[in-house]
Amino acid sequence: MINLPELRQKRRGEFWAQILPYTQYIIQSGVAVLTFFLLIAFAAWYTTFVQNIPAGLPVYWIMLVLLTPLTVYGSVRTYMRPADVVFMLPVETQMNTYFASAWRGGMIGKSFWLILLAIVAWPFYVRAAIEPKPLLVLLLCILLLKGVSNYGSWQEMRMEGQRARVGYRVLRYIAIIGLLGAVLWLPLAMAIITLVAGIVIYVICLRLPGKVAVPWERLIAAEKNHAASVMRMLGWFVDVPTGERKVNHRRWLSFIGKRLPWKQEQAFRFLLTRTFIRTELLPTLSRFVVFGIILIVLARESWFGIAVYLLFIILAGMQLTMLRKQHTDTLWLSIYPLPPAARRLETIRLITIVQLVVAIVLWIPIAITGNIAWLIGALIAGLLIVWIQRASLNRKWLRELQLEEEFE
Amino acid sequence: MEQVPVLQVDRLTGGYSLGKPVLHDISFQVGKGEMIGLIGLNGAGKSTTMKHILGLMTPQGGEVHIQGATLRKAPEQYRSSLAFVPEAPQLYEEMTVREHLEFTARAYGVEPADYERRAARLIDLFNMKEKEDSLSMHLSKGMKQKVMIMCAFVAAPPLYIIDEPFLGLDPLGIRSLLDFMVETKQGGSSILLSSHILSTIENYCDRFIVLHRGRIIVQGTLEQIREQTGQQGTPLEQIFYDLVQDSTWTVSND
Repeated sequence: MINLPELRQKRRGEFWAQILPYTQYIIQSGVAVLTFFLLIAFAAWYTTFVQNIPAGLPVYWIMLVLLTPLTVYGSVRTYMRPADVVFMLPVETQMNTYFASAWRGGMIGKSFWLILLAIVAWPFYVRAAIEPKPLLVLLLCILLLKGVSNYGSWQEMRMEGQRARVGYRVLRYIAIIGLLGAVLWLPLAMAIITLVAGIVIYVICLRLPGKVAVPWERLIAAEKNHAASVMRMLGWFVDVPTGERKVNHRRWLSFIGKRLPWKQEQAFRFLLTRTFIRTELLPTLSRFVVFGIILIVLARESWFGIAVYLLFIILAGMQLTMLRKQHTDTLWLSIYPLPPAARRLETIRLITIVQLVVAIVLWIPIAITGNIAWLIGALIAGLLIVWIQRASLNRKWLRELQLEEEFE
Repeated sequence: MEQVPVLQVDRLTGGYSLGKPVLHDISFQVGKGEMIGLIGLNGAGKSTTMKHILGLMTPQGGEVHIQGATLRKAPEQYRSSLAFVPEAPQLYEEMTVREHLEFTARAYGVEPADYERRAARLIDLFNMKEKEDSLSMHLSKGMKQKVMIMCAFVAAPPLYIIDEPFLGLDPLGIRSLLDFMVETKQGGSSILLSSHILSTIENYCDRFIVLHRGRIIVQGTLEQIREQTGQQGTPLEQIFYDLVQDSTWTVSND
C-alpha cells in the first residue's frame, strides 16, 4: 500500500534538494546585496512618502491593485509526474490524502507574502483612507478571499470542458476582485455581509459544472509549469536546465518576426522570436514591466524612482538572458546549415531590441513629469545600461565558446 | 571522369565509448539518384551509422564524405548537402507546421519563391492544409512525423537521411511518402533509408545494406543479395530473417 502523504513529502524533498545547491550562486551574483540596498532605499522613500502622502491619491484603488495579485493567484505544488497517470490511477480514490499537504502548502506559503504586503501597505492605507478597516479585520478578509480563490482554482482544474474552466476562472477573478473591492470601499458591517453572501453564491456556482475526481493530465501539466517557473527564475542567475515550457499560440502576435530578412544568418532569430512570443518569457516580462510602471509612477518625483527605473531595466535584461538558454540541446541546430556565429549574434540582437523597448516603455512615466533634465538623464542612463549588458553578455558568451574550443 | 558519390562512408568505426565501438569498419556509398535501404535488427547500428553521417558523433576511425566534403573541412557545404528525418519526431512546440517549414527553408537558404511552391505542394500532398497553422504540440504523432518529412523535403538537398519514416504514418501518408521519395530520386537526389518494413521498401530501394552487430554482412541490389545468399526468388524479409539467424553469416563476420 503506497503511503501517499509520505510520497509527496519525498518528492518535495527531492525537488528542493536539486534547487538548493543553486542558491549560493544567487547570493554570489550580488542579488542579496542589491536586494538589501534596495530595501533600505525603499524604507527611506516609503517613510518620507507616508509622512507626506499627496492629497487626492486613490488609496482604495492602489490597495486593490496591490492586494489583488497575491489574493487571486494561488499555485498548488503537487510534484506529480507523467507516469502517475498510469501507476497511481488505482489509488485515485485516496488521492485526497496526497493532495492535502499540497493544499495546506499552497495556502500557508503564499499567505505569508500576502500578510507581509498588507502589513507594509498598512501605514499608507491607515493614513490615506477615510474610514480604514482595522488591520486584523482586513487581514482576515483577504486571507478568507485567498482561501476561496485557492479552492475555486482547484475546482476549476477538476472541471470537464475547456469552456467551463475558462468561464469559471473569469468568474473567480471577478468575484475575488469584486469582493476585495467591497472590503475596501464599503462600511465594515456592509462589507462583511457582502463578503459572506458573495462567497456563498460563488461556492454554490462552483458546484454546478461536472467534474472529474482527479484531473491527472492537467495536474501533471500544471506541475511541469510550476517546476519550470522555478527553474526559470533560477536561470536569471545561474545556468540550469530549462525543463518543460508552457507554450501559448498568441495568434495576435504571430506577425512579429514574419518580416525578418530572408537570410540564413537570421533564420535563428525567426525561431527565437517565436520562442519569445509564445513561451512564458513574454507574459513574465510584461507583468514585470507593468509592476515596474506602477512603482515608477509612485516614485518618479524622487531619486528612488530613477533607481527603480534603472533596476527594472537591469532585471529585464537578466530575464531576457533566458533566451540564450533556449534551444541549447535541439537536434536541428546541430544539423541545419546555420552560420556558426548566428546563434550568438541573433540572440544578443533580439535581447537588445526587447530590452530597448522595455527601457522606453518604463521611461514614459518619467517623461510625463516634464522635468527635462530628469527625463533626458534617465533615458541616457537607461540606454547605457542596455549597451553595457549587451557588451557584457557578448563578452561572456565569447569567453565560454573559447573555453569550449580549448576543452575540445 | 568518375562521378563523386553523394555519400561515401569509408571504413567507419565508431560508437559511444572508445574501447567499445558499435560500428566496425563500415564502408558503402550512395550514388546520385539512388535510394539505399539500410536494414538491421534493433541495436544493429543503423541509427549510430546515421548519427556519424549527420556529424552528431565523431568517428573513431574512417571517414564520411558528402559530395566529396568532410564535416571537419567544409562544415557549411556538408550541412547544406543533407536533410534528416529522425525516427522520433523532434519539433519546436512553439512553432506551427508552416513556421517549421519556413524556418527550415530559411536555414537552408531556400529562395522564398521556391519555399512557397514546395511548401504548398507538400502540405497538399500530406493532407496538412487544415493543420498548417496549428502548433506542433497539438499534432498527433503521425502528423508530427509528416512535418519532419515535409521539413526535409522543403530543403531539397542532394542527400536525405531518413530513419524509420513510416512509424505512426497512416496508409495514405505512407503512400504519399513513397511516391514523393521516388519523385525525389528521379529528380537526382539520393536517399539513405532505414526501415523495418522490408516488404514495403523491397520494391522501392535500388540497393540494400544489411547491418548486423555493427558490421555490414551483405550489400547490393536485391538480385545480388539473392545470389550471394543462394535464395533466388525469395522476398527480402525472408532473406533478412535467414541472414540474421544463420550463424555462418553472423559469426564469420564477428
